Amino acid sequence: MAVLAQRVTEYRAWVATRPDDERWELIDGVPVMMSPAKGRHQRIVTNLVKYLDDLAERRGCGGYPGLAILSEAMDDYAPIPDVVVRCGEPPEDGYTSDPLLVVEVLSPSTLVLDRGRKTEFYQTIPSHAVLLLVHQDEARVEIWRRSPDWTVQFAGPGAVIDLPELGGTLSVAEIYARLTF
Amino acid sequence: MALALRRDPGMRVAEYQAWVADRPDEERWELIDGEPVLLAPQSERHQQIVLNLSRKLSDIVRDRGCRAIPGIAVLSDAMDTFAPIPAVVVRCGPMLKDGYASDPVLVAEVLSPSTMSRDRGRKTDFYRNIVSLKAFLIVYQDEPRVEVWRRAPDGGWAFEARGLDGAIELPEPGGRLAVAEIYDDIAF
Repeated sequence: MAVLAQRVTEYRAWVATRPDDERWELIDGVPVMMSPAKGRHQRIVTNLVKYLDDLAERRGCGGYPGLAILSEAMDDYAPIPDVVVRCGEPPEDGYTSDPLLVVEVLSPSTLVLDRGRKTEFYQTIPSHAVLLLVHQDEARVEIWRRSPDWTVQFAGPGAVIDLPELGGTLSVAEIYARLTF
Repeated sequence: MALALRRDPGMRVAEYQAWVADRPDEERWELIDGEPVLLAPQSERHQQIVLNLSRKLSDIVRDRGCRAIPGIAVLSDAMDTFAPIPAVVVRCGPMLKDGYASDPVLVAEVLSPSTMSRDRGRKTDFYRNIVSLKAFLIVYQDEPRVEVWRRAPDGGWAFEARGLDGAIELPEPGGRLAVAEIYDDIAF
C-alpha cells in the first residue's frame, strides 16, 4: 500500500490509530514497521539499559528502550533507537527531542540505515552528545562523539569506554555479558 | 495513491554532467543524492591504500578480461541523482569513452572520518542498487578491516567483515584478495 510521504505531525496522528502491538518508525517520510527483535539483540539491549540506567540515575537521567527521537532540523524522521539516555522525567508520549546518548545495536538488515542516515539524523540534535553503534556478531563498538566536530573511535574486546557525559565508564565486556561469539 | 514529492530531488545526472563540464579541471565533484560534492584532497595513507587495492585487484582480474580502475564515476539507471567516484571500480566491458561506468562488478571505497556516514549509508544503498554489482568493499584506514557486501543468490545482500589474516573471495570475476595485501606499507 502506498502512503503519502509524511512529516512528523501527520505520522504521529497516523501511528496513534495503529494497534498498540505494532511499532513504527518514520524514516525519510515513510512509516516503516519494526520487526520483532531477536534474542541476541534483546540480550545486548537489556545489558545496556540496565547498566546505562544505573549510571544515568545518579545524574537525574534515565536509560530507556523504545523512545522515538525527534529533530527540529529533520521533520520527516522519527526513529526509535535501541537505547536512549535522556535527563528529566520520562516523556509521557514516548517522543523526545533532547536525547543525551543514543545506542543502536546493529544487524545486517539495519546496518546501512543505522550507520548512514540515522547517524546523520541524531547528529542534528543539539543535546545529542554520544552515539554508540554496537555490533552483534563481533565484540565491536563504535563511539561517535561531538567535540565539536563529530569523531569516531572503536572499542574491541577488553576495552573500556569512557562516558564523561554520564560521569562513568562502560566496559565492552558489560555490553556482551551472557553472550557467546 | 502516489508517493508525493517531499522535497526537490536536486540535480539529476544529465544536469550534473553539464554542470561539472564547466568546473575547472582540477576540481573533482561527485553527485550524491542530488547534490554536487567536492572531493577533498586525500592523505598519502589513503592514496597508498587505494594504490594497493588497484594493484592487487588488477593482478587478479586482468587475466579474467577485466580492469580495476581508480577515479571513474559510477551510474545507475534506477537512481539518477547519484554519480559517486569510488576508490576502485572493477569492470569487464569494453573500455569507456568517458569516465562514467554503469556496469561495475565490484566497487571499493576507502573510508575517511568525514565521509564515513555517507559511504556506509547512502552510497552503500546506491551501489547495491546497481544491477551488475556483485560485491562492495568498505576499507578502513586506521585499522586492518574490510567489510564486504556480497550479492546473495536470492538478490539480497550478505555482510561480512575480515581482518588482517582474512581473505575476500571475489564473486565476479573470481579470485581471492588477501586483506594484508591491501595494507602493504601501512603502519597501525
